[in-house]
Amino acid sequence: MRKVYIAGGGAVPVRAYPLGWGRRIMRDASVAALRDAGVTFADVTAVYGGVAHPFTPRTVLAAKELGLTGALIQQVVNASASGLAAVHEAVQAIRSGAHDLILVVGYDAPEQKLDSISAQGFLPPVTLFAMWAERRMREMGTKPEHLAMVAAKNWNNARGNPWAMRRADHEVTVAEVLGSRMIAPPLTSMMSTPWCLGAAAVVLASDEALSRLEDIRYPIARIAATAAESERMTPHHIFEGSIVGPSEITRTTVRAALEAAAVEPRDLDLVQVHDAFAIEELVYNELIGLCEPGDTEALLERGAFGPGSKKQHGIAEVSFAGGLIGRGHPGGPTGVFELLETLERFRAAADDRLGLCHMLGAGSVCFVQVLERAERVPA
Amino acid sequence: MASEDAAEEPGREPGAQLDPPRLLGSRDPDTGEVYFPPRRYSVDGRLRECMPVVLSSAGTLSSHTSLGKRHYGEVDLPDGPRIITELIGEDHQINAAYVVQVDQAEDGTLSWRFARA
Repeated sequence: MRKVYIAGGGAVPVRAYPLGWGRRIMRDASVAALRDAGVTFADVTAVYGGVAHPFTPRTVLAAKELGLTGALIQQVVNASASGLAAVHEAVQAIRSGAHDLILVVGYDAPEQKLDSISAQGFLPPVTLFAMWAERRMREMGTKPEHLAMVAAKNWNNARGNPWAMRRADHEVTVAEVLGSRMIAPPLTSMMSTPWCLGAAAVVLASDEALSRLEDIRYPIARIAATAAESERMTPHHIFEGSIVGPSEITRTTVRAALEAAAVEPRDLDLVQVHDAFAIEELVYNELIGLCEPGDTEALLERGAFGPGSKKQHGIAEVSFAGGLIGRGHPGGPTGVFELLETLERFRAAADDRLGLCHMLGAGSVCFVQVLERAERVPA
Repeated sequence: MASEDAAEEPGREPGAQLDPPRLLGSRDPDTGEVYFPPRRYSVDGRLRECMPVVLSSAGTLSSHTSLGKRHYGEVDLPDGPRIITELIGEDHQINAAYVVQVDQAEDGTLSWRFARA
């Protein structure tokens, strides 16, 4: 099977962009990614757009901003997982031999005002995750301080991320998170992702494509595995009105991805998860297998999952670039940001060799990709 | 091929009835599993047709929170389904019994909430 690499990436900062900025930020993120990979739009034979919001300009129209070259244009819509879903499809296209250099761009900035998720018949997302938190607090002894530890870690990790929505000018404390505005008990505003938009892009390449490119900024990342699943029936299954979904989907999809990459959870250096609300990270840490169920709280108290976690605790750093709470969750681009931030971390820190990126879509689909540092291709 | 009277059917099965106030679900005839909202076919993909079923009027609260002045919860019905719902009132108790209340809007649309029994 052909190997697939992330040859380069780029983005525009996550912000509350005005209505009508979709084409512009899609274009600017794409150009940044193409330039980072040392190629032009004329070099790619396919574009995959990952879009979540219904009123964001369609990829078939937005891609005109980059050129009219005859390239295949595809759009993937899969709720919050749209970005990783687009990458998943592009990887299959390269593996099949149909393409060997593809631009994948996740972007969201609607042309007109969006109905809120609540207006579409769903309960407000924060209430659903608040009930996750309430249940875990009651059953496993989790305290609000543990949720605040996750959030403070991610706010502080975002301070060094140039694309992050939230870049605090000071070290954020647990007390500050706990003291922020209560949204849905026990979740406060600083434990919750902000409303935001953005665009992020990566250039995917086969071995053959890399061998003919001259301006690659090594190290880059190999996509060692990509896995995707939809939900299976579970006890008390909620079919509609929820965007949470069964947590089991994370366990099975991560397991499939790690097996395909022939690695174990303890091998991971960097992990990014769908942590729109602080409770999610606690749960996903355990479903990924970073620790045993119920151990996350004690590990948080000892500083695990933060900077230096791998060396001090043998456990991957989680949401090292701020995650959905710090960087933000702009929708379609979120998964692509996860890949891009992992690539940048490979370039910045020689010790980091293995990353995992995870996103859920409406709680009903899960996409997981495992990235491996690649020093030079061919080696 | 779609059935001849498909255009006469609603886009989805109704999820509630007004009198008496109940949620409506469906039951897999083989496994006995009960689903809400009602669905035509079984969840295992074998396309067994499910039977309509009127769900119990009361269940137990398994989790709750609030957003502004509105309260939300998860109510587990004895039939099996867990209902995520708005709750009536302000003082809520895990494991307490809650009963469904169905309301009809001017356009005929039905909605439901649960209140402490």
